[in-house]
Amino acid sequence: MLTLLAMPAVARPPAGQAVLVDRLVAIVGEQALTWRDVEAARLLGSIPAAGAAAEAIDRLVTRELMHVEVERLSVAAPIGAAVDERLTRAQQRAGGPEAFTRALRTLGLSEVQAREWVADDLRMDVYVDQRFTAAAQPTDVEVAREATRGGRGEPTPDQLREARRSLVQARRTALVADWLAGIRERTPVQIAGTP
Amino acid sequence: MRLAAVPIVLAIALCSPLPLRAQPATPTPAVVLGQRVTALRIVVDGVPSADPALLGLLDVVVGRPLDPSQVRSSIEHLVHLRRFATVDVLAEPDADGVLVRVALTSAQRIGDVRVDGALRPFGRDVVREARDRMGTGALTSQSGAAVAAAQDALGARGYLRPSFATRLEATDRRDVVTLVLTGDPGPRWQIARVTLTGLPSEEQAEAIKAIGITTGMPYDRADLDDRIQRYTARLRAAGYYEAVVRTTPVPGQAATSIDLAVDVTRGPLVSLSFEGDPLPEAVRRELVPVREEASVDEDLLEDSRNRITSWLQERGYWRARVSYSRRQTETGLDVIFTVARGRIYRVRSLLIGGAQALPEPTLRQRIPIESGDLFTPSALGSGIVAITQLYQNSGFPAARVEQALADVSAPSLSPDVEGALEIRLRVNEGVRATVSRITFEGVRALDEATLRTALTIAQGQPFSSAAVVASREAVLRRYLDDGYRQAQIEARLDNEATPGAIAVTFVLTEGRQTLVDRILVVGNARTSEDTIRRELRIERGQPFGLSRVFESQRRLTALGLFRSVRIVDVGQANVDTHDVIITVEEAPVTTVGYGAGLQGGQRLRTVEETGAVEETIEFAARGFFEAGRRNLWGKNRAVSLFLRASVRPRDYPGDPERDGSGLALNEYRVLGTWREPRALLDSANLDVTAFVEQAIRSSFSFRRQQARVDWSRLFGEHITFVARYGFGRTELYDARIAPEDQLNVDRLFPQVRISSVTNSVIRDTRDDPLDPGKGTFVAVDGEFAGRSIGSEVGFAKTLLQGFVYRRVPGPRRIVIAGGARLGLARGLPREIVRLGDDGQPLFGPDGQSLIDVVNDLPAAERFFAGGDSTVRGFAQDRLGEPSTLDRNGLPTGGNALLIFNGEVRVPVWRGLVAAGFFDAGNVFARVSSLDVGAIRSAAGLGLRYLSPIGPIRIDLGFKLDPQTFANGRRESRTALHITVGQAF
Repeated sequence: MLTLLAMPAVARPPAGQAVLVDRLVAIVGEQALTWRDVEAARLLGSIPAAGAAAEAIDRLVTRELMHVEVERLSVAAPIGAAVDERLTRAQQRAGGPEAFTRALRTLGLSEVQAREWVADDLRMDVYVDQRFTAAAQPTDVEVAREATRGGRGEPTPDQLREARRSLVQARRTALVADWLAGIRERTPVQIAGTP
Repeated sequence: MRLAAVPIVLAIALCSPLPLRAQPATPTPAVVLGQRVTALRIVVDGVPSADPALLGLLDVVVGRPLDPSQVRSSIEHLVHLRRFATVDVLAEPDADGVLVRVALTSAQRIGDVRVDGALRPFGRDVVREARDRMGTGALTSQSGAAVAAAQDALGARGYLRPSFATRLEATDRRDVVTLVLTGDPGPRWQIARVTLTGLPSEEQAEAIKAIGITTGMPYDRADLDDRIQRYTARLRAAGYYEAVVRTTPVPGQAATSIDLAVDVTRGPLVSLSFEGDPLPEAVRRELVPVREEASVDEDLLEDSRNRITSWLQERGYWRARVSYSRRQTETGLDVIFTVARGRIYRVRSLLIGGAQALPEPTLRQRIPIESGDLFTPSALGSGIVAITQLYQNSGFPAARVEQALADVSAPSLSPDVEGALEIRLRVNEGVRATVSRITFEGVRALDEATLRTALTIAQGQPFSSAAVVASREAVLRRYLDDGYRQAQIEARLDNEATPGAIAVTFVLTEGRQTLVDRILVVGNARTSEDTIRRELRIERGQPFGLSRVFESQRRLTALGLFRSVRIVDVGQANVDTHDVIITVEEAPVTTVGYGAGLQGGQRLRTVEETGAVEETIEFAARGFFEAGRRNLWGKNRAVSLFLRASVRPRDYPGDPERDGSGLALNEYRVLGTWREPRALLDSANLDVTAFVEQAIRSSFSFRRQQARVDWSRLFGEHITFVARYGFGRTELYDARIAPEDQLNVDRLFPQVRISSVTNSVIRDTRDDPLDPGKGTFVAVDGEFAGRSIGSEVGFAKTLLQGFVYRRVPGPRRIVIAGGARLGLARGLPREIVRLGDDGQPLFGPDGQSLIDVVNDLPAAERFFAGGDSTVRGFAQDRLGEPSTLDRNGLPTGGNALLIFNGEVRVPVWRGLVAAGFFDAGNVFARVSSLDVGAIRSAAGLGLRYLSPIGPIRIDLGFKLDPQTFANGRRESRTALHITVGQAF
């Protein structure tokens, strides 16, 4: 069976040999996540297309935690053009519209469901931006200190811009990490198969 | 390289506890998707399962193409059962398509936590802490929480570096394990050095001694916290209201030692004093809580000042003035409150002006103030709010009420002279508004005409903001009941061109409708799933409606089988159908209760050979024990046993010397009940009861053995119908009435067999059966006993009862209760041939058999009155018209009963309630002799203590018309009753 798992997807396996169709990978709160969700998230750009399975599952769990939160807070739906733009990018990554449609069919997803998935991703992005980007803004003094760190002289406008960008990025990442840690604390997460 | 990798992969697979899983998993399903499913198999822990409940959760259908979305939803359904740790769906191609195999691994839950080895001395603390952290039914993956809990429990006792190991022990249930914590607590840390800061050096040693910390004592954090808390309380009691004591532990020089730094911030020594008019000490502490709040800051003092002012104003001191000052002194801080309460003001008049649309008397009713009342600002404030709301609900959305208070007191400098106040209210009604149009926006899923029927506003009616809110809620409820759980509704108000015309638009965002997919029941170990499913009002394929969910939850809770019931839907937000999970936590099936108490009251004791009796106060020790087991065989059947007994003075009715001397177990009741739920109908119960009892009445005692069957059905929430058949034997003994004065039935049937049927209808809306504060109780009983159904004597009896309870509005929570009882009975005549001592019939002078006619009810079935729950000016059973009493005033009981009760219950302090009552009634020999004009009355006072087992009650009743018995003795004026439970 293990050898079958590594076989090319196009070949029909011999009779009597099993193919793993789908499996539970995690339970977040009451929500079950399966391998099909991992594949869908990769296809639609919610998580990186490459990477180890364990990492992909972890990212999917994080996405689900954020999803629960934006549902709870009734974050507004994004505009249609933004969804279209993301779907177009997903199609390009998949190798064109036909390959994309084929991949969706393999995952048992309709185009409407794919749109909703992407719309949820956008709602999460919007929520995180609105909540944390403003809060992560440094003061001018902090930007200047960052730009002159290491004993550099008077910073140039570009150095100041770069210092601000890196400060915002670092602080935003820390704030989001704190927020996610908080959600994780109050939401039971079970990775399937772990004792 | 490829060849070398194979053994490694195989080795990993062999070591894995989950043979089907190879992490990370990357299924390759494309080759089998769309293939026809030829068969479905479920394998649990490697063993094939034919559990139909599991197969029923699969959306994959034999004979149809394998669909990945159906595979995913099948996994979801299985996960929602919470029984499996892993779910894999595999497909095996065969000649006709694919065989689908679902491989499941059982999830293991921690049933019990145990501590072993060197940790045993800490077992109780560790297990309690672990249980708190993990809750019930924790998965084995949560074992880490138990370890963290153990670490905290030991850390609090000074074992700062314990080591732990865990193991799981199997139980008799495959899915439940016992978590065993073992390990080594390690050394216990000790306090090596104590330093104290914040106090003068000469006070430090004494402070350390007062706290009770010594070098070398174990570093026990819980104990240390207690000591610090006690010391802080001591400082605050001494006037250092802002005292704060902190401890900081730092590692000592030795490996297992702690140096403790204690920092005392004592704050100022506060002297709190009151000047001017006095306030009770308890009131001062409540209104100026500097000690409780550990603060004397400006905010707290300002709040305290306002609280004192309000407190005085609510007691009529309208012009009360309160001020405070803070003065720094050499020793600390003086806080002085100065109270000038002024004179008490009473309301002389209340004038309302400006009201045109609503009649002034209607407005006055809204203000709970009468002329002559003490003036209380809160009463006026609530009245103004009530009037404003009345206007706003009557079509005047802009209505306002302004108040002006005029001091119309006679001039006086003495604060003892009461002041007078005139309240003037001015109503600005504004323009009367009407609803000109009602429209809906965004309604797609539901029928607009149906939604309109839910509205409480109508076009052309006066505009009312409360009605608009109620209408909005009603429409929202319709959506929620139809599964639109994200529905949002907004009521938009637009002023039209015509003045006062308001257009109301309900703007809806419907959201997605949630339909019920699978209904899964979890958490039931003993209760059968059928028992739970029968109570559900939600169905697969139907909307997940809020009312149906609430009703299901209510019905499940009403079973009494569960500690908690939770109904949630689970599913992806963008999918319309959601699984519904019913999670129950079962209550213990065995219940045991016991108790003891004292009952006091007046009993009759023979004082003369003639049979004359006197009332004496006697006490009886009572005890009860009950045990029950419910949910038998998971079907909510229940069995219970109840025992009650009293020890009281012994009865010797014919012996004045000994009557009432010594003690005996002379009252008892042993009762067993079997309850069969859902008997014949869903909402009906069948109770089979058997009991033996011995009881004492005033003029006789009796023993009874009876079996009965009750079939009861609930109609709606408040109405119960009961049909009963009873069969039993009653034996009279210790009769105090002379044989010649006894009724035929008692002489001829000292032991009587009774077989009867009874029907009852009960309507009960009381908020609390033990101590009702509002609601009504109405019951109608009808009983028939006849020789045709096996009874030795026949009778028909009915009892009508009605009680009403009302709580008087206001903070006192005064309850007014009233009730009436009417009992009517008739014996069915029976002729009995009189027998001689030899058992042969006796004949009269005419040669005919002597016949006795029995046309009364047996003693235990007749009506009696007087006592703690009927007319309280009388001792037990001692009330009756003359024909129901013998010459000594002993009651024989009667065929008719009439009782009226009225009572006022006034809470006085904590659980103590004072009561005043008026009772009236009488017992009549025949229904035809029932006479309202012959009722006798009593009034009295009582005291109740609201204990956890019900009100403990003392009542003292006074007869309003004491009479004299045929033997020349006069009735006593009073009757005392001490018992548990309200009189009615």
